[in-house]
Amino acid sequence: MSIEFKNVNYIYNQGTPFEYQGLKDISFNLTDGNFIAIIGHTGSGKSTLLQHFDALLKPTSGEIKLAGFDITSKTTNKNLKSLRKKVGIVFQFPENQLFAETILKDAMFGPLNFGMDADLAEKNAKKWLKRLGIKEELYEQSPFDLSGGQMRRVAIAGVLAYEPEILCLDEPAAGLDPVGRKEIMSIFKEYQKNGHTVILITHEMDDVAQYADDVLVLQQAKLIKHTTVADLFENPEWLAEHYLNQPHAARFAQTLKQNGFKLKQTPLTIEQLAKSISKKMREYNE
Amino acid sequence: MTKQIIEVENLSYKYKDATDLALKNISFKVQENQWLSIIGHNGSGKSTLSRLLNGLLVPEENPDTKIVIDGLELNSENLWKIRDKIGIVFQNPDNQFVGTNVQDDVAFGLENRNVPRSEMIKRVDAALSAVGMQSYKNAEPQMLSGGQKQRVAIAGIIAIEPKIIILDESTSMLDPEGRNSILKLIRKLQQQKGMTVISITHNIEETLHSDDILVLDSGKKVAQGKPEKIFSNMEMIKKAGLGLPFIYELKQELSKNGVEIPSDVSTEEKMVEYLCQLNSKM
Repeated sequence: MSIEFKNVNYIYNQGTPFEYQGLKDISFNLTDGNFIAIIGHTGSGKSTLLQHFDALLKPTSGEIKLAGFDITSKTTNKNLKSLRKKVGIVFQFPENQLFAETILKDAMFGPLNFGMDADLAEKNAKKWLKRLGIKEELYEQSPFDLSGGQMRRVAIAGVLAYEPEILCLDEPAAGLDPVGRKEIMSIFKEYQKNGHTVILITHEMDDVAQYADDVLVLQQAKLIKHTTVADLFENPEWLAEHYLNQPHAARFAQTLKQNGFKLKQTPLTIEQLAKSISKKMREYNE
Repeated sequence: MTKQIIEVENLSYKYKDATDLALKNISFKVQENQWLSIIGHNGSGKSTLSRLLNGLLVPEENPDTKIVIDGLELNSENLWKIRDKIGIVFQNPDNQFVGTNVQDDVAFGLENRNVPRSEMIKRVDAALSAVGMQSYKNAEPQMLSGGQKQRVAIAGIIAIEPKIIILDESTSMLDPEGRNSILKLIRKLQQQKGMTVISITHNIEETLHSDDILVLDSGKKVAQGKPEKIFSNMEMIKKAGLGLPFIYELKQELSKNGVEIPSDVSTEEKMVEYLCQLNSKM
């Protein structure tokens, strides 16, 4: 099975003076079980695209096939609940989605809503709250007394608690401290490795390099590239033309190269960069 | 002569119903026209601190507590004069959007300050084009992306030209290119208008260019100083739950691989120079 978008167009406020096109003729095929990054500038259509994965927005024209569903402009809201059980979305600032009177109830809402029995819902909610680093003594407190970063974690736990097949994330780490960012990104990576598909919107090329398999690049509502991470970052000229960055390690290697210090391969992470530098120095010493 | 524009002494704060203090006896000073970065893990008290500076929150009662902004002590009498001097751009732009469209939103702060209409139109236009949003003048907030709303929020603050601008994670949703252009703009304003900038950020690279860094850990001030001084204290950075800038991380990784880099190699430029010098001797 795979996720397929075929000639998908989306027009906001069609037939009004505010009409504008959010997606233009988007087609792609994604392999289930992969980690896919969606990149592009603010306003390029990333969030619009993401909202099509669980039919919060339905294509104005074109067709989407995923998780056993066909979504077109004619799709009614009738059977969407079973789709949304399979496709979980963590929106920008998910802390705005919190609403229940206790942290535990908030994290249990998703599973209960999708028909899990209360015991299992509680078990799952607790499992994911714990995994996200929320201490047990907080479970009965209001989520609104938490700090911004902790609220974010509770909201994410609430989506993971119903263990959707496809997990869609819209800049889930924006505003988190670097240590927290690494923590939650590795949770998403682990979730993917355990047999789920993860779709991530991000501006952080270092995260793309470290976690993603494939990349979709959007520009002004169009898909301008769909490729592997290694291939994307092999081509600094193309990235620069589209005002996109390489990962920090690759940019640094580029500067080294311009100054006469050449590495064999483009490093994508600091670890790779340090290894290639030290290898080059060892080779010389030998 | 530089003057102190912000002076904070013995500042503590506790949220209602919380058991622990969110800020514990903080004291620090900021010189006029400086760029101060405040860093710390989530929940360390950074945003709380920024809200105390303009009186959105009221400190714990203590006769030794003092907040002085541009020569004025923060009290009920001076509150509005002080708020006039400080512009805050909050983390989540949705919480800050008040206008029904982009230009009304940017004009809001000017209307509050009774700026004449002709002047207002000029300043709104200038602020919107500075953040690259002039073509969205009449757009409604729900038509904007998160990053675009952040740009509008920033325009709203630069239009009022405050003496002090506080950025509370206000570029977190912009792509790197957009973030750099906004930071460049703020830096230009800092230099041209003598503005003082306080930037609360998780983007460690961004702090390398600040004059001063203040580190908070669980409500306590653990360090204040120039970037080189702060990031050479790796133990403190680790304990505060923070990441290191790229260059310091690279040095650590190289050391794991048996390559030691001298401590005075503290920026990427210096590292390139150092490695290429070695290379030319190879």
